Amino acid sequence: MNYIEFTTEDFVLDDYFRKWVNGQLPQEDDFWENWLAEYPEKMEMIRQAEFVLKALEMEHTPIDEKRVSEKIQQILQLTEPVIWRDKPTFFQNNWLKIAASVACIGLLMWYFLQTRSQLPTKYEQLITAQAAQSIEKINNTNEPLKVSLSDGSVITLQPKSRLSFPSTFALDKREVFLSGEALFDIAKDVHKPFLVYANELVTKVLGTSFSIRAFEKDQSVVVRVFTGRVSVLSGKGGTQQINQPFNQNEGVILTPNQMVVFDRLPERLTKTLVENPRILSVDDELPLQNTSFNFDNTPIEQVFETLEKSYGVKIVYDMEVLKNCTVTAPLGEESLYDKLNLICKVIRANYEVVDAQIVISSRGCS
Amino acid sequence: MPDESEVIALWIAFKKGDRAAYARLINIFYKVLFNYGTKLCQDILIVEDCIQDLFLELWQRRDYLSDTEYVKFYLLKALRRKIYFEKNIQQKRQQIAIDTDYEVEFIGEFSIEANIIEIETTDQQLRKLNHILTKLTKREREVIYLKFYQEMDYEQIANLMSINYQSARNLIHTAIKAMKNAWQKD
Repeated sequence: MNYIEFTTEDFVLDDYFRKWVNGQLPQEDDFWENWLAEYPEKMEMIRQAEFVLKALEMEHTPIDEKRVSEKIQQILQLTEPVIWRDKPTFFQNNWLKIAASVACIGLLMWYFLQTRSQLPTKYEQLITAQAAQSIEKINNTNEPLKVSLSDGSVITLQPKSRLSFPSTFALDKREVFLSGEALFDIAKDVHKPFLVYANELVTKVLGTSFSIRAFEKDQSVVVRVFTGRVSVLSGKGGTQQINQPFNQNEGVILTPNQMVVFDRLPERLTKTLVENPRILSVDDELPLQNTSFNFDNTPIEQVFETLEKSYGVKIVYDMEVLKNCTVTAPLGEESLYDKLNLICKVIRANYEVVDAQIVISSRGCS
Repeated sequence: MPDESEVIALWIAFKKGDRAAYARLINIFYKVLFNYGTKLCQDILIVEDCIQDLFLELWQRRDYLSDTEYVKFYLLKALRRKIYFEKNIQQKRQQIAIDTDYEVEFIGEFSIEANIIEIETTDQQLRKLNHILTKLTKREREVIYLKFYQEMDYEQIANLMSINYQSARNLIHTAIKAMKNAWQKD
């Protein structure tokens, strides 16, 4: 290579030169040092080329080595050929062949029935079943995305979530479809119930706020209620349910601070309390009567009543056993569960959340 | 990066169904593809999906693939096309730009501040340089990236970006010339 005649551009574009600038040449390669010693007048040009190359460096998205090897493993697993081991002796007996084919047919039938019984419930299938023209919002950002609907409802779509709704709502109902997680703030309209289809769950409301977490990949679907009243229908609802009257008998009704977890395998609905129940505001169905949690020798019955009203929860306990218990504790900002822990300590009791109710067990106070 | 002849040998073996060669190819090119992919699409998950798709398809279609000396070029081009389609679908879902044909946008950025410190520069040079870099078009950036980071020749760059040979050349030369001028002290 005749480097004497090179211009700055030529140097910049020369692989060998670039490797030298980037320090990618082997230690023993001292060509460029020697060359520069021989042609010191080229120094200026070399420095210029170096400057251009350095300036052209780009930012690179950091690579997570562990993730890369996981991804590579995944690709290899997905392309793993099914290996049928040839064992000629195995099928020599005819009855074994028959048994094997019976088992195969059985498996096939089981699979067939299995797939048939599973009505399409996935978001995509729900969407394609819709006749009306629909609008889809996808949140590909890392920030929540606010979506306003024509009825005044506001839906906060979490990252990696999709929401689909008709460009105009039907006359008798408002139907939307969710994949992922979203918070719903629904405008009240008693004549038009609001229905959310999310994986296997259908959530029906009249006017309320609640959140749904229904990622296609997750093992469960979760509906949490903040205000108002919500009914959730489970099971193989999906497309079939769309045009049928909502059957409340098959679902559960949730009130504020309650949530329902729908496990997908095996299919099971569990009603429980949200992780951090909030004190209900006056707008809610259960208005606050006494915001003070400053208990001073207060009978336990009254303590529990205060909690029940404040958080809209049901507390189950044996009045007979607890009749002598009183609580003196200046409670305030703690979470409901912290309050319960403290109270239970005082009255030597335990509590557990069963079916969205708080069940107290105690040996009583003397 | 292993040398070209090794890659070509791996490609031939992989086409015959050699799992080890296939695995080796993925190991060699995964990060290369990831690097390029993240310069075409911000969403890492989409990039990862496209790469996975690409390798799965390669395996399924291995019998129909032709011999190529330019494995890297082939893979980068396939990834670019995948990301193009993926982004196009997404745009359409969001009801943006339905009527305009979507172009792959190169979003790679220069990290000038971090690197230029290594060599002696005046504030004035740096200012000029910054000015020039921000003015580089997305196409110019992509050509520069493919030339310097993926070490492709003009012919491959032109093919990959669906531009002609002369444009690829010109894009790079214009960029380098502008930067060269930034270095010149007044």
